[in-house]
Amino acid sequence: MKKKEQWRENLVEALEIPRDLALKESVFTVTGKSQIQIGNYRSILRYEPQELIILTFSGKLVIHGKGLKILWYTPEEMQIEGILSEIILER
Amino acid sequence: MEKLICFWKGCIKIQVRGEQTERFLNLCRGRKICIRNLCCHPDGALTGILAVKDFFLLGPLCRKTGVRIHIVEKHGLPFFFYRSKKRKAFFLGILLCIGLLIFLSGHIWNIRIEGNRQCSTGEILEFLDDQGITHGISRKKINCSEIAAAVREKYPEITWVSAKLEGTRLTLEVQEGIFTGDDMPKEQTASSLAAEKDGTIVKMVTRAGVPLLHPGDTCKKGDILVSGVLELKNDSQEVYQYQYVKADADVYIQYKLAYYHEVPMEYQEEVFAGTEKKGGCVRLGNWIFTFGGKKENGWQQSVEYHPWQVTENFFLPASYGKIVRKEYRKTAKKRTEKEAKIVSWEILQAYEKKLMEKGLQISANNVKIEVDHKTCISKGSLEIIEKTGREVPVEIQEQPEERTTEND
Repeated sequence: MKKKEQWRENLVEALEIPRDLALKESVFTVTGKSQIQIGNYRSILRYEPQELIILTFSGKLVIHGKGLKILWYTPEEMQIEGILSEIILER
Repeated sequence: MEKLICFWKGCIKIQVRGEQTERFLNLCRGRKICIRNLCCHPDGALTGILAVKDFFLLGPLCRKTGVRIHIVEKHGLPFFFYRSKKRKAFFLGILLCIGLLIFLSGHIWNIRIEGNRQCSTGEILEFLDDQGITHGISRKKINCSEIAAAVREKYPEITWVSAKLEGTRLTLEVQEGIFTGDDMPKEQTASSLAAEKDGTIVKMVTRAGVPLLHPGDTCKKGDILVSGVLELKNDSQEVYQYQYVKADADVYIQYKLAYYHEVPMEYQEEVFAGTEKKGGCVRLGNWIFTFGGKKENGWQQSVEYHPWQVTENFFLPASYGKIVRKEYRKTAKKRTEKEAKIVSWEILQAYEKKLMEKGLQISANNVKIEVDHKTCISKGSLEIIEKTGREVPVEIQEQPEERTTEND
């Protein structure tokens, strides 16, 4: 299994295909301290005004802040707005 | 754009309460139900905005997750129309507006003329008016090729016309001939040039025809200056044939133009007292409604009209105006000799300028300004040089008999 993954990664690197497309890796785009855009996520695990936990293909993403608001979300992407204080990636 | 779609299709703000709100959101995501502006409140409730059609898909998700949904707000046109269903006048107004829009868009409300320099826009518009092409005419009645042909026929100096309809605008693009009138092909009929005034010829350049008079000669009105009859002579200087051409020449004659003007020494000057009144007026056709006082003696009134126009060339038969009335007093004044001479000189200068604008040259000024007790008299004459030459038909003469050896 590990060998298969290694082979896939090598192929992606050789062909110069973006990893988010080929390996479904998540993309986080943080704009200032108030906006974050997440691409390639799996589901919302927890949603509270101070905490938002999102499950991605490679683990959990924990966002701490104040007044967190999901501006929009589609099956692939979501945009979060609020006062961001901490972003943690958990395996 | 998103807001516009939301307004057009209608959107609902909902509140979601329950234990499994996150699961509810994930299920929405799975069914491609788009919820915007999702906000979590401290009491655990979620609020968000979604489209009306998506709202009806939420039923099974609510049952599965056990959440409760409340509609907080409704926005958009579908809800507005539903709320306004009892306002019949409102819907009537909308229908009327649509009808008016359809009616107005089927007519021409702007006639634009581009590229004209010699022919004024007003002149062409007047011609179109005569042809029945006016502001407000139905689009169906307009035949662009016919309009273009009519304009070309009416104005020979216009070499190219394109008429096109763009919405409610009729655009006429014209191109005027770049060649001068002299280059234009004219009907070649034989003619001579005759003097239009009495005078002395000062310059003559003949291009076609036989000059009968020369510089320095005097001519009277009607005298033939350049003849269009060419006499072809043989070696014995006998005319054996007459040929007729269109005489063409630049002939300049000099003549005296008498000048007389009187300026009174005593005159009445209007001195403004400083009091000013303002008013307004509205003109509808021939009717004028004024407000802000009436015209009185001792007050100078000036009116500035502003016509109401719908488009650049479409003027309504109505206008509004501003009236300004200024009080004045007439005071008797007397000019000094110097002042009177200056005034007379200025009047003479203006007269000369006017003559020069007509294309006349002033070669000498023999006007004398004299002042007596009551008036300042400018008297004398101006030496004018003017281009002359009026086309007159030639007299067709009998061709001389051909000479043969038998005649000899």
